[in-house]
Amino acid sequence: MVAPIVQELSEEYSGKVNFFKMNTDENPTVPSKFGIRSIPSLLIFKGGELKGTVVGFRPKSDLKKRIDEALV
Amino acid sequence: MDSYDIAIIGGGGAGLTAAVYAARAMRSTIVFEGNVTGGQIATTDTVENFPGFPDGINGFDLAQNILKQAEKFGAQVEYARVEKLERAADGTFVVATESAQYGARSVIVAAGADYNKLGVPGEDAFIGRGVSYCATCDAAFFSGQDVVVVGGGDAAIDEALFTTRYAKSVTIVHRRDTLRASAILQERARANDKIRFTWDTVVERIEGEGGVKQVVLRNVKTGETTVFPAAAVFIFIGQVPNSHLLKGLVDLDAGGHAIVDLQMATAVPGLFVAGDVRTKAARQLISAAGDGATAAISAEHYLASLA
Repeated sequence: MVAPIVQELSEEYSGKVNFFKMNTDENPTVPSKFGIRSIPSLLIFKGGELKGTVVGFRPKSDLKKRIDEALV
Repeated sequence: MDSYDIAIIGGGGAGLTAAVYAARAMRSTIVFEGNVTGGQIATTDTVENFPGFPDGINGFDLAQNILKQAEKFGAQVEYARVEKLERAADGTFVVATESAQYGARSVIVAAGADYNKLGVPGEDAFIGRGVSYCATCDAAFFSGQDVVVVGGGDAAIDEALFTTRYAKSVTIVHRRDTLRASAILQERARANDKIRFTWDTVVERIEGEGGVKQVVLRNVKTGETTVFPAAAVFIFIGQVPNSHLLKGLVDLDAGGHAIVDLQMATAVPGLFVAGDVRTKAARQLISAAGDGATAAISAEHYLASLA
């Protein structure tokens, strides 16, 4: 449901940030590993390390801010 | 600044239907959506009362279909939250998002409504960690666990029924001793072995560590409080209209809903309001869609009258 915004972000951050989506029904162990109990949840990783979690719908500008913070 | 004949603020059932009508009338049409197209319907598992779908239809799929239909006729969708709506001196409108401004000769506000919060301690702290306003989204994370649903309307009962697919037990906590939900939903809930009712009771606190572990309940008649273990609290206690853009432009009722006439017209020429953001009795997808169609036709008449 956040797909249209994430799609736009993936184009704007092309070459800098990779975007992935996961079906939580098909991969139940991964969400429980990260304590996810709500969708949509967006997790930001840098160098394999969790840098931030965004739960729920947020405006694009909020998401950009969170990604930019993680990029620094 | 890009300009359009009709700008529609909100891409839920009302806004998307308005877009179908506006675009099909060959008016340049833009829809602004800050979250997810489909609005409340996007997170509804099964829509059973929309005419034409005898077996019901998934809410998200239905919303995507209406979106596709609107885009087929040329409506454009901008995924951005509208921050400001202003009427210019020449009678046209300026719609401002966080990054751009758009001109519009006519505007339909179909911004819908947001869920109400309980406003109790622990609620905000556990959002996304057991506190949820969307069982369709989050129920699957509580497989085999005990959960609480708060509310007594259609949304509460519908989502409680959905949650029984996963949860071990679903306890409906309601502040009265009767439900407001439609009879068919009540009947299904009472027939479901997993659903229990706790009447005349409100949630006083939500507690836990890392995630929700228990809720503190208070019986409103006896004043007695009890601790109820639960892994999740799903809250469905009504809505607040998203009418902040209309403040100062349009008359609002005591609940913040915009007051419009039967043509969805406001006192401001060219400004129309549709769906859950307006004063009305029925808050259903079909009535929202009806509002959207009416508003688009009214906007079309308004534009034709200018020529």
